[in-house]
Order: sequence, then structure tokens, then C-alpha cells
Amino acid sequence: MASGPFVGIRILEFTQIIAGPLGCMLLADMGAEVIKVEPVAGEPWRLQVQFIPLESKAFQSLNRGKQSLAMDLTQPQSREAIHRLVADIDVVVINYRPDVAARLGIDYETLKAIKPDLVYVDSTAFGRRGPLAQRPGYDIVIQSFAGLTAAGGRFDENGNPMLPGGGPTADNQTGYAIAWAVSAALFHRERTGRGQLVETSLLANALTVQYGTFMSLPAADTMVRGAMLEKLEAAEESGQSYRDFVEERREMMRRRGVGGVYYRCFNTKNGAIAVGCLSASLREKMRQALDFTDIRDKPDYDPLTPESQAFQRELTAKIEEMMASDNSERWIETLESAGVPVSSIEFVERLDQHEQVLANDYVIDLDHDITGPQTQVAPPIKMSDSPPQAQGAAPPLGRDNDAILASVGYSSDEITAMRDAGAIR
Amino acid sequence: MASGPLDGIRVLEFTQIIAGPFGCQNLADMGAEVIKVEPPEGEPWRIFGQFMPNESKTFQSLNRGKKSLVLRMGDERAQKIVHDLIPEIDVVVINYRPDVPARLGIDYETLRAIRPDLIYVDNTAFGREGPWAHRPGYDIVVQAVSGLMAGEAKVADDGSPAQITSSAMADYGTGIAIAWGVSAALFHRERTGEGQLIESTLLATALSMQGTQVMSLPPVDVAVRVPMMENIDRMREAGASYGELVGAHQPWAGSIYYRPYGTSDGAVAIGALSRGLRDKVRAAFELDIPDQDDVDLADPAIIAQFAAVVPQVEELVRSKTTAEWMEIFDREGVPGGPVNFAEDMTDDPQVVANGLIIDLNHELSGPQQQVGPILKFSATPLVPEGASPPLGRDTDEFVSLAGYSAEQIAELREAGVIA
Repeated sequence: MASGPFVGIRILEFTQIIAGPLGCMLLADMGAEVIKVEPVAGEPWRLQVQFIPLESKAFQSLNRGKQSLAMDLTQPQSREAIHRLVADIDVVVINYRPDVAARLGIDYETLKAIKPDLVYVDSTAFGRRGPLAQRPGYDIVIQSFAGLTAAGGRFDENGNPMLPGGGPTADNQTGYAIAWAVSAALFHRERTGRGQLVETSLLANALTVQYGTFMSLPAADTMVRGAMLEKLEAAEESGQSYRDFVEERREMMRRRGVGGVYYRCFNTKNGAIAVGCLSASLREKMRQALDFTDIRDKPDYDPLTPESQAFQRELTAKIEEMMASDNSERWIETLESAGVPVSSIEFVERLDQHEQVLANDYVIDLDHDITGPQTQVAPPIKMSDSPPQAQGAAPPLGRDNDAILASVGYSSDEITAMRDAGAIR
Repeated sequence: MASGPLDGIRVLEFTQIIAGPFGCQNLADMGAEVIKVEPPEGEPWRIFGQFMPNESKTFQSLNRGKKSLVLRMGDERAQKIVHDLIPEIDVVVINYRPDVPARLGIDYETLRAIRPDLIYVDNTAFGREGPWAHRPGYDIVVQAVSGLMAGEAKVADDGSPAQITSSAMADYGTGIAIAWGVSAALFHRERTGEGQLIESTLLATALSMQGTQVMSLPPVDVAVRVPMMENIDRMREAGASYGELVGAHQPWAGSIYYRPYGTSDGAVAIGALSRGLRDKVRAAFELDIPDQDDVDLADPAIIAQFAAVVPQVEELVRSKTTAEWMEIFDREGVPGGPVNFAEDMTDDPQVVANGLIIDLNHELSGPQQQVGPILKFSATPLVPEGASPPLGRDTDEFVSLAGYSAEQIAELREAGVIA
């Protein structure tokens, strides 16, 4: 018997890997009935290191308490079934790329026509707008794009940059944000009877966990951020390596990748990139794009044999050498046009100028009472009917003492007396 | 004019540093009116790295859109103000140590007597129960304790552990969890008229972010996790260094006040972010150097003095065991903790005491343990409804609910449309 605040709420989940499944699991923990719609072959995370067919530890750790509906959504009958089901659904959570939902007939407009007060959470990698909107993004790509990898500053024995440790931060944060978003939207629906579209992205959440460094604040930035950006420009002009610069930035580390050559960072001739291929089809795309062969996805592949390990070492060295032979731009273009998730490794201090960030309104301008203009990262969730919005900059200390006290009946004499007594500022 | 879903909701915030402020900022972003109660000298984050009096970048980045109400909460009149305000307040968020709210007259029971449908979020570092309940905890400590740091396995050139520099993820995750908890509780109040107590902790969040690693799943673990941890235990007994241990785990692997240190038998992390706590750190290390607040940090002599102290302290910490340091830190009130692996946490008494580990039974693979929900609700407790489903287990039920007959379902399955 379910017992959370969302008993009686029914959620239809079209998500995979970590962020969406985590978000829906958090809601399931709160009592919602979560129906997970999966492809007939199972979602990719089921297949990632299966220990028995169609079961992996990673999948099980992110999907507890759900129901599974395995369905080929490209077939019209499936679409019809989903449309019939939606009439009894309160919330849809989806994490496909922006164009996919409409193709499958499960976009917000279509489903809203069936269930007008539907809450629909659309989680993408880079946001629905901007030049990178259609680019596939996984945690490692977003962490690298959003500045987290550079902030982590880790390198392996060969000097390759590495993903910061402690977990897939962008995915985890997005999972929480989905749960939060659904909760707030249901509250709104309860008060007004209206559903709405909610959007979030890995990018928005990755920026959000770096508030202080992403933020620009001219009154304070001359000391650190401005100097850092100047150094970065000088370093790039003088051809200083990414590694040298990151080390100069005083943060360094180390890690070993889990995905061989497919899910990791590489040095390039003029910088570094990250690739994130977590499925066999993406790995195949990467092999085709870079024209190499691998034993990895062969049916009888055993990663633990000495032959496999020798092969992987050789392959890794070969790809590292290849990546180091040309510039980041070339590899990004090559890999992106092949559909491989890829990103340059950015510094967060620069992203408030990036067109992708600007296109999604992730930068907001605020004006502090004392210290003047500043930009910050926008709320990580967008909502179509009740948009979250920064209500102003931070207050100076005690700015609102008087108004608040007055609002509960304190006279100005009483307030002054309290201030004199040191009870308030 | 606020436009978010929480427009018209009023929040009284008693929090500082990152997690609580970020959580309340999320609520403010959603349209709630957030009144931040601060001590007269300002909350610590205003003062940390201030570029002008009472203003720091970190503070400004985590407190936008709020009102600031300065009260000296040790004064009974300040407490009375809070009590007078409470009838106007929908939500209280607090992140003091467990014994503090009652001392200040702002604990849940006291405030609920004034406003029965109050929603009250109590955020602590390690939870209200268990041997660590009263320890101070900051992100770095929770990173160390929860396994996040060892999971990153970053080791400095001298073999000492290094902190996670990408993000204060335990803090930020908790901040979102607070906003989520409040939102869900408001939904519940709207439907039932009931408020409630919500508890969140940095530890629960940090574990939740490592759900797969914390999870125990015998059919898988027998091949990897169990032998790995047995190996680590053997290495620990044989006196392996932290670097060697994190090397065997997976295997991959500033200032004196906020960082991890190697000890004679492992590693500890401390996190002191206020003047008062730095004083305690110096006392714990018996250091005779001035506090950074009392000197000119640009003075070359000071820079040299502070730099010279770092290797001294590193050597000092390396001369004692982790347990010895924990005793000293507890005595002096220094926020600190050993660097653990996430896998160690499954049967950790602190974790168990707070109900953070749940037992589940998977239909195909049998019993398992996972991290429990990261929030506790007093009126509507969160209870996971079971393990994950085998693929397609419930296909029939929902296709049937959608109005299909058994024959149609069979046909659809035959056609490969469902499975």
C-alpha cells in the first residue's frame, strides 16, 4: 500500500539511463504509480553490464517501485494505446531529443489535447533551443560542456583530462529537479485545475551546481574571475596546453574511464574533448566516424582476457594518438556529424557568453541594491503556465527588517527599541 | 510580481552556507516570499570571502530574491518575533544541529502549536538519530563520509586524498531536495489541510547520488564488490595507504582548514568555514598562528607563514590514526570525518539508525539493499513500493487498462508491438 504524498497520482515515464529514471523513482518513492514505457528490447541501462538477461545493477538501482510497459512506439497501435492510456495519466516525463516526441505522437500538444490538465516534464540535454538543441548529450558531455570537468581538473597517467568524480552530477541533479518540478506543478494543478509543460535540461542543472563560478559580478570579479579569464586568453594565444592551464588553475585529478575509448576525455592537438557513447549503436557510429575496428561489441567479447586487455590498450593508444594529431574543431565536426555525443571542455566562467546558453535564457540579469548589476544562472526549470523566475538579487543584510516587523504589527518605536537593544540589526 | 507555482507562499528560512540557502532560493525562484533570518553579523557565507562588508559572491549567488530579517535568536524577544510571525508563515526551513532549534524556541513542536498546518523542513548533516547526529557536517565532510571522495579517488602527489573540486554536490543535491520536499508537502496540504515535518540530510543526499554503489545486490556483488572490499579490508589490516586503497577500490583512484589529510592509517577530512571553527582547528592542531581574519592576506610574510604551516600540519596529521584524530576533533568541535567508501555505508550504524538503507526483494534476482528515500515525511512517510520490475511485467495490465482484449494483446505481442 503506497503511502507518500502522491498516492493516487499516475505517471507515464518515457526515460532512460539516469536522470529521468531517478526523477521518476523519487516520485514513485512518494507514492505515485509510475508506468515506465520501454522499448521492446529494454531500455539501454538494462543492457549495460547485464548480470542476467535484461537486468543490470545500474538499472535496478534507478527504477525501483515502477511498472514496466514494453512497447515499440514507432508502431501506430502503440501510439493509439498510449493515447488511450493518457486519459488516466496525471504526469508524463520524457527525456528524448526535442524532435522525437512529436514523431512518436507523444509530444505535449498532442497529449494535452487528450488530457487538458496534464503535467508534462520534458527533460533534454542542452535545452530545446539553440544550436546544440539536437545534439545528444550524456552526463559526461554535459559535465564537460558546462565547466564541471575543467573545474575538476583531473588527468590520468597519460595526461588526459578526466570526468570529475563523485558521480554523474548533471544526471543526479536533473533527477532531483524533475521530482521537484512535478511536485510543484501538481501543487499548482491542485490550486488552479491547470496542468502545464515543464522543461529542464542537464545543462541547466550542471550550471546550477556551479552558481558562484558561473555567476558574473563585476564588483567582485576584477580580483579572480577577470584575471582568470585574461589568463585563459593569454594561455590560448601562446598555445599553452589545456593541461598546463588547468593545472595553473590549481585543480588537478585523475580517473580511469569505464567506457574504453567511448566514454572519456581526450587531449587533442589544441585542447581536449569528451565523448559519451553508452550504447552499441553509438559506439558503432564512433567507430565509423573515426574508421577503426574493435572487438568490444562482438558477441563473444570477454573484457577480462589478456588478449582483450592487450587489444584495448593498443586501441586506446591508437585513438589517443589520433585525437592528439588534430584540433578539437575537426574532431567535434567529424563526431557530431556522425551522431556521436561529443563536447569540447569549457570553462564555466565563459558560458554566460555562449549562444547555446543565451538561446535558452539560462543567463539572467539582476541588479543588487548595493553592488549593482550581475548575471546569474536562471532557475533550472522552466514552466509554461507558472514560470519560475528570480525575484531579485540577494538582499543587503537586514534590508527588510522594518517592513517585515511592521507587517506583523510592530510600531516604529518598538522596532527602534529592539534595534537599540540589539535584538535586530 | 511573482509568477511561479508557489506565489503567495511565505517561507521563513533559518539556514546558512549552501544547502539550505540554495533550497530556499529554489522556492523563491518559484514565487514564494522567502524571509531569511540572519544573526546581526550576517550568516557565515556573507563573511567568507567578502569583497565589501557583509557581501560575498558566494552569498549573493545563493540568496537572490529573498528578504533578510536580522534577529539575535539568543534573545527571547527575537524568539517572540518569530512566534508572532509564524501565523503568517506557511513553511519553515532550518539547518541547525539537532539540539539548537528547541533551545531557540523554534523547533517543530513549538511552532506547530502556533500554526497547526505548518510545513517544517529540518535539514541536518547526518540525520537526527545515530552516533553522528550531533556532529557538525559540511559538504566536504559528507563527501568524505559518504564515499563520494573515495569514489573520485583523487590523490595528491604525496599520496594524500584531494577534495572534489567540480561541485559541492551533497549541498546542491540537498538544496533541490528541500525545494522538492516543500513542493510535495504543499500539494499534500492543499489536498488534506495537513502540514508536516520534513527531514532531509546531506548524508542521505550523498548516498542517493551513489545509489548504484551503495546498493547491495548479491548476484552481482559476489563477482566484483565482495572480493574488492575483502581485498581492501586485507590491505587496511596490512597498513596500506589511502592512495593504495583507492587504487584498489574501483580501481582508480589549500588551506589547512577545509581539506582531506592522510593519517597514519587512512585519511580524514575537516571542514571549517567560519572563524569560530578555524579557532577550533588551530586548537586541535596546537598551532600558534593568527587567524586569516586578523592579518593582511596580501602580506608576503603572512603568505610565507601560512604556506609553511601546511606541510607541518600534513606531517602532524600523518603521525596519528584516524580514530585518534576523530577523538581530538570531537573534543575540540572540529567538523571532521574519516574518508569512507560508499560500500562501507550499507551497514554503517549511522546510516542504519536513520533508516537510510531499505531491504527489497527483486522478483528475479532476490533480496537487495538500496538507499532509502532521501526525505522523511511525518504525515506521509515515503516507502518504496518494491524493487524494479522485470521487463514488460505489467504490459498486459496497462494495455488492458487502455481497453484492449486478451486477444488483441496477444496479437500485439505476436506482432512485436508489445512484450
